Amino acid sequence: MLAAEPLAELSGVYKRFSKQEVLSLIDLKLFSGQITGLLGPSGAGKTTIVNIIVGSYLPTAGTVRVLGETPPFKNARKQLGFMPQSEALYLDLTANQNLRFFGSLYGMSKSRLDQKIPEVLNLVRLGDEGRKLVADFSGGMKRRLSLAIALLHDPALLVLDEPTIGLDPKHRLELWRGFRERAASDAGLLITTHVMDEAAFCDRLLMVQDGRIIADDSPEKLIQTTNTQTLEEAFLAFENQSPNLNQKADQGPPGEKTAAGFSAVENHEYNADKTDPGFSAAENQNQSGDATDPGVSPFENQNQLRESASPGASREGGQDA
Amino acid sequence: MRNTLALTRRILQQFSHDPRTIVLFVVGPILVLWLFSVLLNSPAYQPVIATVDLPEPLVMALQDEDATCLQTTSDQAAELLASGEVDAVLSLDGTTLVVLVEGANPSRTSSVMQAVQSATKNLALDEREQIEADIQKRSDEVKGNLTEMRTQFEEFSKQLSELQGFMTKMRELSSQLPSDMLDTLGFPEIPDTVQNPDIPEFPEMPDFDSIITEFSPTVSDVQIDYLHGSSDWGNFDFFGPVFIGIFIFMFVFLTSGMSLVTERTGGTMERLLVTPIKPWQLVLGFCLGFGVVTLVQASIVLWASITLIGFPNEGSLLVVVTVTFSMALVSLNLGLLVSALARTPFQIIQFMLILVIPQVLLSGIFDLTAAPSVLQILSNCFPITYGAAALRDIMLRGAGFSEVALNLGILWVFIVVFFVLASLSFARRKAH
Repeated sequence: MLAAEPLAELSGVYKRFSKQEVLSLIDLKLFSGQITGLLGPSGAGKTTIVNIIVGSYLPTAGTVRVLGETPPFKNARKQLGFMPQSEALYLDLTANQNLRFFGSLYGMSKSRLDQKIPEVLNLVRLGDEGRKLVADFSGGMKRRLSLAIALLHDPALLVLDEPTIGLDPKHRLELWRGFRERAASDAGLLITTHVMDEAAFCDRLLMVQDGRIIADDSPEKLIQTTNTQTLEEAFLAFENQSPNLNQKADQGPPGEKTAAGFSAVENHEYNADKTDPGFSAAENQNQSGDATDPGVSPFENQNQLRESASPGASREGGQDA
Repeated sequence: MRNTLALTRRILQQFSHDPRTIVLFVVGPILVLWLFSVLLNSPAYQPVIATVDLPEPLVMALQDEDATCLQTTSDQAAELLASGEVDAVLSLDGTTLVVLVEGANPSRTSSVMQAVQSATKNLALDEREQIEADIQKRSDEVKGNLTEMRTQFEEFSKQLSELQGFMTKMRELSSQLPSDMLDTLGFPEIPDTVQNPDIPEFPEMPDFDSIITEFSPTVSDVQIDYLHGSSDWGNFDFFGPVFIGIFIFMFVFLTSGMSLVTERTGGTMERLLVTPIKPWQLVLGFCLGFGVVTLVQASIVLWASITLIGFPNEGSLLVVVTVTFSMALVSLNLGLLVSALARTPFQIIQFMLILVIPQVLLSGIFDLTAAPSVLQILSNCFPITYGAAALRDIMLRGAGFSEVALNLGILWVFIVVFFVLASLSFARRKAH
């Protein structure tokens, strides 16, 4: 089944803007039925990875294969759903008009649009808002409409860049329920986030720091292998044992230069955590081998949201990575 | 094609939700063109001149030229000139008329000079007329004298003949008398004849009118006929067609230029470029969408310009709309090309300064025949030049499709070139 053909595969990918190295040696695979999280602070390179997968950026080196194609993508685009980090909506159109426009760009017929638009609007809880101008939408409604556009053409691979940013917890949970439903219907999802509690909802988590993937496993195993209590602590553990970190702390792709860390508060927490005597460098070193050698530990501790996904999918994804 | 048309439909939907832009799109050019017509049709400036001890006829001649004359002392005049209340001070230095102009505003200076030149010319004409009248009068006098002399001479000649007759009679009578009696009477000897002097040839008086005309072969009257247009046509009519093209070009450039920048700043470009739409389909979709809007705009603006504002149009409105629409399409594609390169709305304005304003300046507003050849070559590289030339041919000279075919063809070459360049710059942008 899934082990045969990944939806997307990046191997040895470097990306450089002018002379600035943004990504180095990225290897990742995305599988259908699986939610993969890209976790890392702002400026870590998450959006650059996303842009390479959706075909907006070409890698400086390395190979990219998405839905059976190498860039520049042609047919692969039709099977790709993308929700950019920015709003990316026409405020002077209604929700329906936005959906109809983007759906038509994916070659959807009128009858299919007539059928799918109410469906996706209901899915994102905007069933009654289709005729309203997007300019009158709240921030949360806009995010949900943006997601609806990405879902509209039933893409095999959904790439969502910080989909829940700026949403209140209720809407955030609703969206994650939607992601889980898509995964259940065999779509592959790649979701970037810098929020730890959301990262826990993923089947598989890629921790990104300074343009490198420093860890790749299920959230439970990441915590388990670092012998920590939370994903934050796990992230720090991987960050500390990864070479060359902190030297390039301010570097990142142009679009992500504004903030070097997760956020002021979160950075502060990490700094405090770094001094935690209970988490030694030796431990990190020992555990890093386990962390980058996926599939050793059994799959455990599915949280409530993850129950609905196929557990086999996430386990095999982890093994492939 | 479906995705191209989806883009077209989306642009039209966006316009339909934005009545303010629609209104500005149509009212903007009409307002500017109306203002333009009012400015170019307004009467010339009438200068205010301070005169210092000028002879009355000169002052009157100046006033005849619609100049306002203030008769002042030289000190007052200097003050008025310094404070800008008069445009010039006129005084006499011997027989030289000294004109001191304020000088900062060339159009006022030239209106002063025009008034002064016309006035002095008229004065000279008056003087000449006076001299001519004098000559005429004297010639008439001489003629009268000559006629009188001739009459008197004839009278004298007649009397002389009479005298001769009388003398002949006397001689006859005296011959009948005995000679000694005559001696006794002391009768004078009667001369034989009185020589009748010849009446001198009086010269014919020359015709002074013909002499005057011969000396100064001035044209007494001028009749002007027009191959195109009429005596009512002024600057406005000459510049009008060019300006219609220019303003529509600028409005469309801004609209299309901003469109893609807005997509970029709004993030929708990011989403658009990930969809299966090809770059040329994207550019074509924009062209069709804005093309429809532009066609409506150009038609309304042209109709209003010709029927409401009074722009001249000798040709057919259909040909005018076709040329204007083609210019708008050039501008549209140039705007899209620039939009693909610019990152912010501000850069679009800067691009307009670089790419559109020089075109406007070299499009035929100014006569470039005497300009440096570089400018003439540049002018030939710019699309507005061809559109403006075609519009002038149609609106001023009544040209039809066949006569503007070359200019129209060149415009379409620009459309295709800019379309391809815009598509290529999108393709480059699509993945980098």
